[in-house]
Amino acid sequence: MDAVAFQFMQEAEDEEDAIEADMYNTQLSAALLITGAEASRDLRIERRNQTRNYLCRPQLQPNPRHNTPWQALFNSRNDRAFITTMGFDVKTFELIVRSGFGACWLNQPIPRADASTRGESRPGGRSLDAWGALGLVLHYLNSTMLEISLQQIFALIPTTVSRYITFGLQILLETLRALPDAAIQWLVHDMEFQDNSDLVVARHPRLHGAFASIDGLNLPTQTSDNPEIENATYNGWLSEHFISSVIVFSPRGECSQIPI
Amino acid sequence: MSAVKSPFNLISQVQLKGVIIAVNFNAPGSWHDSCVAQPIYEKLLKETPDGFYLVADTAFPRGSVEIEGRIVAPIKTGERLRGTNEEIEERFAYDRELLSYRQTAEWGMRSIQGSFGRLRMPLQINDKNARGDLLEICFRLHNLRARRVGYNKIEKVYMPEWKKTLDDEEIWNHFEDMVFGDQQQKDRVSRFHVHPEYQN
Repeated sequence: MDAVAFQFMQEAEDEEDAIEADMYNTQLSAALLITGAEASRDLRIERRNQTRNYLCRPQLQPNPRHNTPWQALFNSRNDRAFITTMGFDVKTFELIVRSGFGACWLNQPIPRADASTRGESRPGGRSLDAWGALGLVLHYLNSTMLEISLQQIFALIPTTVSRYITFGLQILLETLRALPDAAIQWLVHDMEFQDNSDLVVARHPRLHGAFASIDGLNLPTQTSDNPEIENATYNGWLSEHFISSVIVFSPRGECSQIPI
Repeated sequence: MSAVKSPFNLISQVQLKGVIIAVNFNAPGSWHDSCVAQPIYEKLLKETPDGFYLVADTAFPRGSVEIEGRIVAPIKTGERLRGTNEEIEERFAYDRELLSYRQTAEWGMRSIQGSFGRLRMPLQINDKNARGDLLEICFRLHNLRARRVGYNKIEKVYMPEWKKTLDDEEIWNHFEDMVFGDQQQKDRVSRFHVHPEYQN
């Protein structure tokens, strides 16, 4: 385009008629303006395209409730496959759904910015049932995968994935807090301390009185824009930003559950 | 299965499960472990009968007078030991057991970080509550799995295989012991990193 405009300009100079030259000049400015605007629009689209890292319905399976990789996994009811992808066997997976996750999924409306949170929930209109939602959340927790991969597995569009994960985590926590087997509970009776210690002593005869082990856990975190928080999360010893936890592990599981 | 239930194999599996009985989480990374562990110190002081203690590694803070004896760790490199020959040998043996038992904490950490891949991604910094919720979910799921699923599929799938014959069973039951025993025998180095003073 610019080359053509330049040619125009040359031709315009050759013209002897001053008025015609004027007119050409006007046209030229207009042409330059239009060309410039178009070029910048192209540039803007190109820049935006790089961040458009998501998939829409035409690139996904047509219906999230049928024929998705998730449905194949779920219908297999295979312990090994469930543990590999989600960390739980089929029985425990069902236990979580039955212990409140399913009810929460059915009864609570999924919060969204453009609708009232007080309305009735409409589980029938959702892309996933309660099992699918738990599957999505557990896939999310048990991997580092991007939301794009989750979109492909569950055949969901981007907003749905992020909304379901946020909501699913929330009701999963609610469920786990009410589930005795998921409790984090300090020992209560003296007998429990003794039992735990006996387990340790059977293996390590000199450690009379040891009943659990303790250690710190540092998990990587983002660097905050806020210098105060940034400073607080920076660990000089490890030269990175962390969130710290301290955990006490008892030597005990539920012995009766172990098939020996 | 009709396998012999020696206390040894029972414990090695139970240890692998490691139910979390206390956790304090979501503290800023610059905090010293002793600050993060404050609520746990409280539990040790107020809710633990006398004579019972936790096992930590040498780096874990257990300095304050109040919790002395409630958290025990192996001897630090460079530490001075004084006593008779037997006393010092006994202390070394005790130390090895501390070290060996402390390994369970590492297994526990590994089972949390290894299975909850999400924790490997940098945690988001701007919403403290959402971050706390995510951590709490992972710790509670860990406990649920420890209590319900058994440690992992290896236990389920391979253990019956490995214990098929008597010989296999022997190896299975005493495998760790053999390897670790060998290590202990061959460990001629650790004692030179402390300074024993024999008094006989």
